[in-house]
Amino acid sequence: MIASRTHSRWAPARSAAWFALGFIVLRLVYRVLFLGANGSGLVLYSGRPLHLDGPFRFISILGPVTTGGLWNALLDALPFAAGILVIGVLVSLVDVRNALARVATWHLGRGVLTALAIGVSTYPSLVTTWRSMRQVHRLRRERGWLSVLGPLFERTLERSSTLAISMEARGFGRSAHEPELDCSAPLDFSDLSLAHSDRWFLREATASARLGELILLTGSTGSGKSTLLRAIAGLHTHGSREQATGSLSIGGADRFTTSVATSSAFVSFVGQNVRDSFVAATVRDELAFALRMQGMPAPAIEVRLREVVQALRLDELLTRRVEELSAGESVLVALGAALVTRPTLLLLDEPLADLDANQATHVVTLLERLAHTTLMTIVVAEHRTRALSQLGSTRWHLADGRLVAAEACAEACVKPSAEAPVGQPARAESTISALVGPNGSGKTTKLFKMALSDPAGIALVPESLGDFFVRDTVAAECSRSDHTARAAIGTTLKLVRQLIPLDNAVFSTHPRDLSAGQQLALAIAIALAAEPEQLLIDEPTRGLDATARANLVEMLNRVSEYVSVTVASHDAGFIELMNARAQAVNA
Amino acid sequence: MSAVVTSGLPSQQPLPERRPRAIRLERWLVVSASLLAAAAFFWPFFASYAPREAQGLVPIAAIALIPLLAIAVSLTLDRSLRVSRAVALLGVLAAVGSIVRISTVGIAGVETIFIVLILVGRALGARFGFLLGLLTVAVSSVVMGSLGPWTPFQMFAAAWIGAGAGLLPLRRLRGWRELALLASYGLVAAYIFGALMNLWFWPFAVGADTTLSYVAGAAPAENIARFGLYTLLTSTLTWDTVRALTTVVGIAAVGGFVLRALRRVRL
Repeated sequence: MIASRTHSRWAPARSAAWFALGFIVLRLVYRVLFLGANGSGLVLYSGRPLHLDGPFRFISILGPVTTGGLWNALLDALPFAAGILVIGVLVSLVDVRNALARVATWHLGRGVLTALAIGVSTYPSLVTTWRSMRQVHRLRRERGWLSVLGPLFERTLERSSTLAISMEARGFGRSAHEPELDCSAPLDFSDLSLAHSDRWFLREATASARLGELILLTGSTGSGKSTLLRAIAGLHTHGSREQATGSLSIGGADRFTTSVATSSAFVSFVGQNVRDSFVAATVRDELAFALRMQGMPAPAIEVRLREVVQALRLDELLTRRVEELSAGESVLVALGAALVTRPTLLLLDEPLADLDANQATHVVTLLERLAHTTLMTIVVAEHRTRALSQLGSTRWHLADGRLVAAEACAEACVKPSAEAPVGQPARAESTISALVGPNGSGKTTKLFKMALSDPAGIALVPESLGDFFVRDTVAAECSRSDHTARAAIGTTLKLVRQLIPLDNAVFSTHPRDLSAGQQLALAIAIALAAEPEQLLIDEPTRGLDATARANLVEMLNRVSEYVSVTVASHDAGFIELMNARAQAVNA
Repeated sequence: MSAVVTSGLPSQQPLPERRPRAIRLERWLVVSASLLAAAAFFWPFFASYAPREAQGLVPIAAIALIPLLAIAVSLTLDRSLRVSRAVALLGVLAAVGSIVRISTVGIAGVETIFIVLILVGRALGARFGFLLGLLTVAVSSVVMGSLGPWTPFQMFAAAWIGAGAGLLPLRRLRGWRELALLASYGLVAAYIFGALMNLWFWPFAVGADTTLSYVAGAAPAENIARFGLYTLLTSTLTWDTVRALTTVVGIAAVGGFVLRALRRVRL
């Protein structure tokens, strides 16, 4: 109902017409009820009016009704009704949503107008999130909608801070006279240590980047790749639990005293949850946001947009609303929005995770070209080293808080070969089947359709694991799972322990604070607690490094001895690794 | 350059300095704009004091004045929105309020917008509550496509309710006592909102020539009596009561976790 309202252009005019009609009817009703429909013409009703008394002595009820009286009432109501209709038609003609996006770039009233634009563009994505969370909760056999409200509200507040960072990083709140940064020294740090919640992710690291250098930042999950990138982007002190020692400079300026808005023209950062960082309503406005914040004139913005659209092949997406984009398309748009300012330093946190093979190859080629021809310095954190192995890039490898640079890395670093199963006997045929296909081909839709058609027999572990969990500790999550699955107390806990070794401290943490691999194990255990005949898993490899993937394959093989397992993935390497029977989905 | 950076601030960016004088001026402007807006709501009771030949213009002036006031007050408060976190939070919460509002449209008078406005006003302050009231109505009207002469009136009424929640006493109160305070405020606010919305619309809704009509030039007491019956009949006993109950039940059901989550956010 809500969707149809937002997408039809003439909807405002139509609802205004209904309002206007309702208004006229209301007027007639009041006239008849309160002695106002008396006049010339045919007498339709000729009762005597009833006079009230007390404080209401001025009021009389009912009384004669004539055609002339009704006609007068109608004429009397028309001007106001016409006013309603005119406003509705105007709103339809102007397309308020797009007008808002334009207006949000004015300097006068920028704060209020930007907030208004954010509100209007967040609305549909919130509706989508609400629906998908309801769906995911149904998989957990959670019935009421109150259980969704709490997590949804928390996620919404999280979204607002991601959004704020994204706005600032693209120049919101930038004053006209910002100091220029030195392009010849893009990035330099020495003895840099970074901590988050009392855990030191980086210890006394020293490195620097040259102009046009393409750096591949590797390391296992949780090794601190994101922490380092966020620190370079100037986001490390946005939370309250973060600490840093040593020096870090970008463009010759101290990162810790240079505001994010000041460096917005120098450095661009594409984080992991790009969808939460979209500020504008349409792809075109999203791409132009940073340039508008810089105060660039419209014709120049057009030129830059055309450049980015061509480089990333975004032609067909340009007029789309951001909430309609698939995960892969969102990454491409976010990349475009980062490139549009022609930054000196570009930071990308796992940009390939949501891209299919074709898109990934294209992006990798583009990055290489940018580094070579425009001397852009690029730092990419990535698990999918295979896709990037062709690059003649510098490598920084993170392990146990140490940063190992290119030369010393030869032996220790992750190589493409590490992705192949090591020391495993080649199995004839795994019992796991795989659902493959490019992004947007409908794998997820198909899985949900299967799972919801037979909730008792088929269990689904969705891609958005954060939504799958409904309690705030692992222990509570397990007992909730026992309850909804009507299983004996302790069933889920036992299953988790069979899948992955966990120490006891883990049970009091929030499920969303677990590592990607641990989250997956917990979700699979929850799904298995109800003893389904078939287990479906959607895109399980997101955020997993080579080791974690090998563990996952082993885990899935063990699970597949009890239930039949189907995995949907766009990651050909992983499917090969599982040795699964592949089945393609066509859109 | 070597230094331990242990951040207590939400952002490294130095917050724009706001002098007490600027804040006083802003408060003064918002209060005067609100008083003028109130005049646009209450004109039927005072129009009899206007010169006889100008009385026909009073309703038109009221309808024309209020959108301008809404714009003026937004621009005034815009000065407090120089920090990206506040802007993003305001926009996102306006979307939440709109969803809450729109998802219950058409269910016999159930109006849930106050739950959000009151809780946010309480947790994040009067200015934020005021802005959220303005924006939630604007966003939901844009999304629903239901913009009309009523929109600026609804914006002001919602803004006052959000700001009122921020001005409630007993700041230290927590737990069920705080929820009880907010729920009672919500109960009163729901009726006041209904009466306010009826007030500006009454002369237009009923039209001329009925015994319930606004009579230009009549004594205020007479118009107040007519309006009293109008509001009792049309909404106070029906819609407003349902709205008041929804607000109370809503605040009791979600108030706890919403307030906790909002208080973790720093502006």
